[in-house]
Amino acid sequence: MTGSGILRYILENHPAARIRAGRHITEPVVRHERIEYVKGDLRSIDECRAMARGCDCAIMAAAHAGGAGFTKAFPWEHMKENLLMNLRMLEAFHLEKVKRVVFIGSAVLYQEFEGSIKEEELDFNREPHEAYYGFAWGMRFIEKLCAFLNKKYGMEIVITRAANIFGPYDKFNPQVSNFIPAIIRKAVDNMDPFEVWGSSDVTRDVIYVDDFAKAIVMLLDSDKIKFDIFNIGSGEKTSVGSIVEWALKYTGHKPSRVKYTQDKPTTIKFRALDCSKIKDAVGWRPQYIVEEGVKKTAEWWIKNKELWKK
Amino acid sequence: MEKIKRKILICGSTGFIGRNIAEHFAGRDDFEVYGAYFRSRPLNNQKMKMIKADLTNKDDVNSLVKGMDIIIQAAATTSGAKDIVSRPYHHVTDNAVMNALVFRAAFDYKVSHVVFFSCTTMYQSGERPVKEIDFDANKDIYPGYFGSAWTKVYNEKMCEFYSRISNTKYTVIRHSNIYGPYDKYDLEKSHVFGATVTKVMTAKEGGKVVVWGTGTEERDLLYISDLVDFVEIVIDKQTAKFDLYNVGYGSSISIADLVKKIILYSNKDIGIEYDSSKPSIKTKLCLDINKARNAFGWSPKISIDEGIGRTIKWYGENE
Repeated sequence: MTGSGILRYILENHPAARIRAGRHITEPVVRHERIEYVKGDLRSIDECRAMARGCDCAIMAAAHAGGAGFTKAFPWEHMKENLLMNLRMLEAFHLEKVKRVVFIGSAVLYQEFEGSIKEEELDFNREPHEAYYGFAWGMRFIEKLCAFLNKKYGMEIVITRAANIFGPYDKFNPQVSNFIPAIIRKAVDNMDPFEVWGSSDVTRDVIYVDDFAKAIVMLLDSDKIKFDIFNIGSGEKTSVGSIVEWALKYTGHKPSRVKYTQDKPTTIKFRALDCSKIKDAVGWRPQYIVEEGVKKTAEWWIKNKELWKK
Repeated sequence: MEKIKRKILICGSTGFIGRNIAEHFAGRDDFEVYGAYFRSRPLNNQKMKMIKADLTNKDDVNSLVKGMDIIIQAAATTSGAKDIVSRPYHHVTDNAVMNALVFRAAFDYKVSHVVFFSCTTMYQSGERPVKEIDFDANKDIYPGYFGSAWTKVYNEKMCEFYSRISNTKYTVIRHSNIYGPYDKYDLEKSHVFGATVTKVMTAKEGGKVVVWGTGTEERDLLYISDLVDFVEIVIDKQTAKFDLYNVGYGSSISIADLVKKIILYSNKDIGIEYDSSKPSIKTKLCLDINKARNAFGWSPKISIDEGIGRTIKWYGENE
């Protein structure tokens, strides 16, 4: 989802850019004469190098935390794939002398906190939330490696700590999906009573994929920034209850009641990012309010649910 | 009836630490010892089974780990100051990939105990002996160590992670500079101890040795058999699912004093010259080893003088 959102954004806004896009198992969703798809397994250094060869800059979007159910059931699955891919790809960027990289990391690396957290408030002496322990430490480690590549070799790297990204082309498979697509899918399926994991007052910072893509491309373009770290999110707390309300509104589903179940996997209760740093640095701010994003995502899903396999 | 032997796998069994541990356990009749090797020649010991494996290859790691009870993870692409300064990224990726695969396989194949060799490069340099809890992850790490130290810290966290979600026990050992038989003694890759022994032993009578750095750096040096003792103790006695220990001598020696002692025990008449233009790592580090002492009654048995004497004797007979 994030990768294809970025591809769409570049195609629309950078008419001269030529893009090489890495993919592995899934078929590409965005096709264009300016995109060259290269199939490769990011766990192999040779295939990573072949992908990176000749590129001036790169965006690394191949990291993803699943939803609460997946994270609780298979906490080790993130370890195996994510870390190895990130390590090998960064090594390939280094060996192939790619000048500038935007790395899409995740806000799950933060310790638990009250209020909105700023980038410099990450405390390495405090553990991340138990549910994300392995994945979060992987993200912390990759950030350190990025800093290392910048200090030692002068590779320009912008690290981002992403909020929950949602939108068209997200994973809707209930085994792995995050809460927004999960709720939209249930609404479209007319689930009744309408069952939601956790409680309505759980909040997240969520960001619509087109806004996120714009932030990434702006950071790639801001070549005055040689190395830095940015939170990217809406900067607001969105409650699960609000997502449920909007999902029902834009799918037209009217369940007899909404049931919040406490026995299903949930993770941390609140997360909000202070996103003022990226606003000050490059002037980015989200264009879509979250409700609008939910509407567009629901419309996309209604149109594509028969075809979409992820 | 014959007692069931525990299967112990030593990754990095041809390396310095791995080899000493492998040879030690091969001498016990209650262990079946498996040694993994890759580029180096396999060990020639009738009481060990040697298996060739590329630890950055998932299939190799899986077939290696399957069926093992205990894993000693002593494999690493490690080296001395020269390599750390000239090829810093080399240490990072392969080591991280290797450990990710070994820990994952230990999880999948329900290994009962994993011993992981970390290091002490994450500690800040200072006058006082450092405790395990003194590591402050928000402080800067010495620039020359930055990549490798964070790789070790990350791997320590992965040990803790897997210990929480499985029944595998993990021990992390932050060991200081280890020296003794089978260390690296070639000047390209050796640490300060091995390099100095080689320089002294190969110097002409009445000649001199050139030591990299200024000689004022201080190191905590532990003789290999004391580390092997600690490994044996944690395998027998650790009850916690996860624990992390400093293992060192508990006091430090300056490089100048070390070089003098090595010359003394070599019985040679040799002068010393310091070359401060060559790579060296400017730190003073000494470990507080009370946690290991209090937990298991372990403490170093071999003094610096005795350790140097033994090593020089071994060098004379073997190198």
